[in-house]
Amino acid sequence: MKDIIQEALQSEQSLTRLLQEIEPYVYRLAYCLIRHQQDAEDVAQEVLYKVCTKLSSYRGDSSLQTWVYALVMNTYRDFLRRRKVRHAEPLAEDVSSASFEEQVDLKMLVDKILTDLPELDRQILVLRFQNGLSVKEVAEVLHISEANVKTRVFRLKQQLQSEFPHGGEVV
Amino acid sequence: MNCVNVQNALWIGQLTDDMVIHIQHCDKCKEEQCFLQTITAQLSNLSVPKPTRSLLPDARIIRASVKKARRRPAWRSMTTYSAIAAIALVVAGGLTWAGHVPDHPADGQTAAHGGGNAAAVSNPFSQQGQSHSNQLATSASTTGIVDVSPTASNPDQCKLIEQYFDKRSATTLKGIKHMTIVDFTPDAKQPNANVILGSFKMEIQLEAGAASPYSNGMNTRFVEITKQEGLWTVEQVASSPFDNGDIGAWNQSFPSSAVQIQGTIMDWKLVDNILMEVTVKIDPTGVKDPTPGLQGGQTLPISIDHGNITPNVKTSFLKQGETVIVKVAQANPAMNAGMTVFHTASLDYLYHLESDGWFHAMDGSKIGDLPHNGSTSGNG
Repeated sequence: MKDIIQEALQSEQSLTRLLQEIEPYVYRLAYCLIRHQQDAEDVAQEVLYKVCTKLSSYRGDSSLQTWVYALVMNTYRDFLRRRKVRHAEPLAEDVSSASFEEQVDLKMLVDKILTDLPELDRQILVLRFQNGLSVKEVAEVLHISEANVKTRVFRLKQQLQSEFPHGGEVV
Repeated sequence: MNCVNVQNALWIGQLTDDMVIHIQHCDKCKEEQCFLQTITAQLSNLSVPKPTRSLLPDARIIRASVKKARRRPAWRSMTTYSAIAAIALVVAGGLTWAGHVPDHPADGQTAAHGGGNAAAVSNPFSQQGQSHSNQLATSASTTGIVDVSPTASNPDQCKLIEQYFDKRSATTLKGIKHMTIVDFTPDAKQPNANVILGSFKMEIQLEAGAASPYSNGMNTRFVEITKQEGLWTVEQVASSPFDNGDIGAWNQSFPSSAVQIQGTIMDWKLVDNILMEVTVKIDPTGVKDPTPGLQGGQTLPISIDHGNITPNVKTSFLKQGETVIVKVAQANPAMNAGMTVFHTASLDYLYHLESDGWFHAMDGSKIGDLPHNGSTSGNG
């Protein structure tokens, strides 16, 4: 089996193909963290630029996925630093103006939870439960301990259970 | 088998065979599993709009990257051990990532910029641990926009600075033909373990007639590098040196930036016996040093930042109305966007036990000297 990285480093076509394959994952993760299309595109573009220019420094210490997601998180943090304090914008609709019936809609509830969570908890929720990373991988991507990830997952669990109606019985 | 343990294992993805069997026969755990699956499904199905443009780097950058990589024979420097590891990985060929594969970020539609059928391409993340022994950017190559000189005495800091400039190629580097980070010199005295201040030299080659804040030849700049959540990154670069006053409170060491407050416990949050938050009503004179956002009579939720330690904290003192002395520091707004909470960067708090009249440290040990009022406790 040919090494996908080695191949990408040897040919423009292969590198372009690899970037195209990674792009959906990078953009999706960026969007779920930022929830603002233009900003997510900017962050994703910056990440893909880094992947392109830094791929030769990828040493295989971690999986390619972990390496790329760590680049996304680092770039996202830089983005936050540049923007200083900024509330995430709601997705399509204005959550606060929705009726009670609309708010209990599961999708809206998930959006609201994503908006309201503290930054690091949101990153863990997205990486662990949206992108399916293991606790160990989340810890690697976020540069925190596994114990810290677990603690925060347990806190998320409690919060999600309390946020969802009927004690976790979703409709 | 304890249902709590099983449900916790569900959330962290560490179910044992016994636990799987338990779930099959336990309605509560089965319900928890369904709940978790619903959450995961909702998150995975979150609507993501189609990008409005191609997010790939310019073809010239891709070309330059390949050209640069070709000049560095990645496999020539491979040791015998890494070669063996690479072969072993190829033979194993495992797909170890169980993540969700988006057909496309834009609700399954094709990419705006083309480039092939997303469904037909393989998952680029499916190959684990490709063994690349290629050294970090220490090449003397001049093809890239920014290179780290092989003479750099502190390659890590130089690399961080290189990354900082790489991200700014469109604006800061306008008019610059080539830039090489030559050397980094840390200041003799550093503020704390989370900050590195210093200066670096950069060799600049400008395009003919270009206007730039940099000059042709050697330039010196100053840099603040900070560590947040275990990650080192360049915070800022300037033409004059940084000092302690330039560093955000959240990057100061906890003892130097923490403010001490005294108050009574109103409420608290425990998750699996781990203390997450304590709400304290600050005594009228409970703020020793005037601090914006902190005042007597205020009810303050204090988020406990456990950092990289496994919490092992006494919680027996948690009683409403109990006197408590807490040191708090402001959270990093970049990491806690929208939050105004204060938190303890370390579990540096004391509690008072009516039963023995002593103030205790977090580990339960008695504290005789009360830093807040300078008096000695021990007799209630």
